[in-house]
Amino acid sequence: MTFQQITDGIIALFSRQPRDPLLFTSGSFWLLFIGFILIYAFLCNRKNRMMLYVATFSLFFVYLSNGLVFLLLPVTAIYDFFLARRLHNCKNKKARKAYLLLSISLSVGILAYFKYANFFLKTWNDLFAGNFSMLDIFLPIGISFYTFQTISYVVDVYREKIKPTDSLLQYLFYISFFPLIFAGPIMRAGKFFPQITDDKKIDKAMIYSGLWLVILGIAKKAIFADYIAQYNNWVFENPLQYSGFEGLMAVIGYTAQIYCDFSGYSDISIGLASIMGFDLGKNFNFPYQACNLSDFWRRWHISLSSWMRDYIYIPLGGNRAGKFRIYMNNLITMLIAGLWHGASWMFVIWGGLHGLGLIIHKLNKPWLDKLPDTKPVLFLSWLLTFSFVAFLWIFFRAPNMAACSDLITHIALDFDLAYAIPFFYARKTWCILLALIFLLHMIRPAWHERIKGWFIRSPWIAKALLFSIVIQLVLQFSTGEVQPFIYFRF
Amino acid sequence: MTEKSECTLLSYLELIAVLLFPAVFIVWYSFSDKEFGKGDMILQKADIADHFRNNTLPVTLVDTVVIQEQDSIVATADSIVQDTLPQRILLFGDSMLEGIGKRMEQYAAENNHELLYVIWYASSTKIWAEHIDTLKHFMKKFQPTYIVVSLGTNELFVKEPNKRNSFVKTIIQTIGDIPYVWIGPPNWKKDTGINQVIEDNVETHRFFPSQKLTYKRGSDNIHPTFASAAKWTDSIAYWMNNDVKHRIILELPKKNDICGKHIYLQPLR
Repeated sequence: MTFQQITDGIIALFSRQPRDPLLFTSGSFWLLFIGFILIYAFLCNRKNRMMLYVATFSLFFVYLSNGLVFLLLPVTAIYDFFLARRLHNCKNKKARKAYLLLSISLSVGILAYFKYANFFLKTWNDLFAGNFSMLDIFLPIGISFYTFQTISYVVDVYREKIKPTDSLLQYLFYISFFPLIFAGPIMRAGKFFPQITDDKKIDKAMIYSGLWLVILGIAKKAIFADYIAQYNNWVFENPLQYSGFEGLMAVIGYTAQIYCDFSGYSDISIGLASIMGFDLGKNFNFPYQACNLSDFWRRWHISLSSWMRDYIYIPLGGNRAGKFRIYMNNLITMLIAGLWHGASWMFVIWGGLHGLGLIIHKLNKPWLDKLPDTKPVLFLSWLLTFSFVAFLWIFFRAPNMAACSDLITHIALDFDLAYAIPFFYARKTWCILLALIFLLHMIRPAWHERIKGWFIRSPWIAKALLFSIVIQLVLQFSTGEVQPFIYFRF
Repeated sequence: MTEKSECTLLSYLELIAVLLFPAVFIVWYSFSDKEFGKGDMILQKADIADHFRNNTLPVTLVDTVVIQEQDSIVATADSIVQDTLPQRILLFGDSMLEGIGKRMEQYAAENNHELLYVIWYASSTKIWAEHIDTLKHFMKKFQPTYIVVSLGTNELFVKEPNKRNSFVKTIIQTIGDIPYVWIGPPNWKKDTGINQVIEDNVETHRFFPSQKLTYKRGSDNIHPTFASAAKWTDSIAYWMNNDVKHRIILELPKKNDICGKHIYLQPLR
C-alpha cells in the first residue's frame, strides 16, 4: 500500500457529507475517540486547556455534520454569553426583561427559521392556496438541543438561580460539548458548570461506568433498534399490505425501537461524558414500567420533560392557577413538546393526545389514588398506560393521517391471532430481540447496578472482550440498511 | 506530575488499551484475506479497509442525459422485438430495488403495465439460487410477462466471484423463456468481479451496467438517494425502451400516479 493510498484512506474514513452525522455507533467515531481521549488524558486536569481542546474537537465534530452552518453554534454562544452578562449586571427590571426577550427571540428565531420555516409556508399554502416556494434550507443537526440549553441558561440567570459565567470559553464548552450536542440530554448550566470548576478526581469507577453505559447504548441502538426497525419500516410505509396482527406487532416493535434508539443514544452520551469525568444524570428511567401517564413523562426523556416543566409549564402558571388553566397549561406544554419533535402536524397531534391523556389522568386522580396498590390494580394500570403510549407512537411514526388511520383500522378490523405462530416462524430473530428488549426493560434497577459493579471491577481484558463481542455483534446484525438515530431529526 | 493526575492518566491509558483491543482486531480483520466462521455463519468485516483500497472505477462516468444524447453505454441487440402491449412486470432483487421500485411504479402507471416488486433485503444471487422456490412462487403467483432482476450489490466484494456463476445460471434458467433484463449493482467501489460474472452469463444486451453511472448516495454511502435512484431508473427505462432485444413501452411518467405492489422479505440470518 502506497503512502498516497494510506493518506487517501484516512481522509475517506473521516470525511463526511454535510447532513450525514458521524454516528457514535460508527467505527470512524471510535477510532477518532481513541485519539481524542489519549490527548484528553494529559489535559483533563488543566481546566482551560481541557476546555479549549474539547470545544475545538466538539466544533470539528459539528462541522463534520453541518458543514459551515456549524458557525451558528459559536455565534449563538457569543451573543448569549454577552446578553446573559448584561442581564445579570443590569438593575432595571424592564431592561432585564428586554435582554431576556432579545436572547430568547434570537435563539427561538434561528431555530424557527431552520426548523419550521418550510412547515409554516407549506401550511399557509395548504390553508390559503398560497404559492410560496419552499426555502432551500436544512435542519442543522443538534440545533433543537443546544437552543434549549441556551434558553435555560439565560432564563436561569434572569431568575437569579445561577450566576453567569465569566468565561466565554466555558460557555462555548458547555454549549458545544460533543456528547450532548446531537441528541441531548438537555443539560442545565447550573448542574454542568460546577463540574467544570470543581477540583474532582476522575477515577476508574467513573471511567468504566461510562464505558459500561457506552456498551449498553451501542447494543441497544445498533443491535436491537436497528434490527427491529427494518420490519417496522415496511409496515408503517405500507400498512394495508400487512394483516392486522402484523400491524399490531409493528406498533409494539416501534414502541421498543424508539426506546432502544433514544435511550441507547442517551446511554452513549452519558457514558462518553462520564468517561470524561462529567455526570449528566439519568435521561431514561425504565419508562415502560410506568403505571400512569404522568409517571411515564417522569421517566421518559427526563431532561426534556423537566425542561418543559420549568420553562413552559411553570411560566404559564403551572399548578398554581385554577383547574381549567392547569389542564390548558398541560395541553399547551404537550403541544409545544410535540412541535419540538419535528415540523409536522403528526407530532403536534401526538403531543396534543398526550396532553389530553395527562388531563384525563389528572381529572380521575382523586379516585385513582384511593385504589389499593394490589398486583391486579398495578397490572391493569400498567397495561392501560403502556397500551396508550404504544397507540400514540403510531401518530409519532406514521408519515401522515391517512397512513395512521389505515394502520389503526387494519389492526381493529383485520386482527386474527392465527397469524401469531406463522409470524413467529417467519420472523424468529425479530421476535426474540423484541422479547429480550422487554425482558431487559423489566430488570430491577438494583440488579442493573450490580451488573455494572461487576463490569467495573472486572480485569481490563474482560472489559476489552465484552466490548469486542458487542462491536462484532453490531457488524453481524448490520445489513447496510443503517438507521440514523431517530432523535437526530429533532 | 501530582499523584492524582498520575492516577487519572493511568486509568485513561488502561481505557485506551480496552478500546484498542477490539479496534486492532477489527482493523486487522478488515484488511485480512481470511474469513472466520463456520458454515453460513461468517464473522462480518468492517468496511475500514475499503477506504484504503483503490476505489477508482475504470470507466468514464456518465449520467442519464448523456445516455440519451450519445451512443449508449450499453450494448444494443441485433434483432429487435418491439412489444407495445401492457406488461406484467416482476422486479426482484436486493435492497437497491427500493429506489428503482418507487420510480418504476410511476412508469407502470404511465404505461399501463402491472408491476410487482419483491425486495429481499441483504439478498444475493446465492440466496435467490439456493432458495429458488421463492422466485418460482412469485412467478407462478404473478405470471409475469417481463422480469427485471436487480442483484449483485451484496456480492461486490466476494473473494471468489466465479463461484457465483452457477447461482446466476440457476436464476436465468428459472426465468426461462420470459423476456428479462438484469440491472447490475451500482458500485460505490470497484468490485471483485461480480459484474463480469453476471455479464458473462446474461446475454450482453440484457445487462445494464449500473456501475457506469454516477449517484448521489444516501446516509449509508451505499444506496443512491431516492432522487438519484429515480434518475437511475430513468436510464434503465430508456434502455428497456430503446436498446434491449425485447423492448417494452416505458415512456417517461408525466404525473406522479403510481401502480404496483411490493413484497418485502426479511434478510436470512
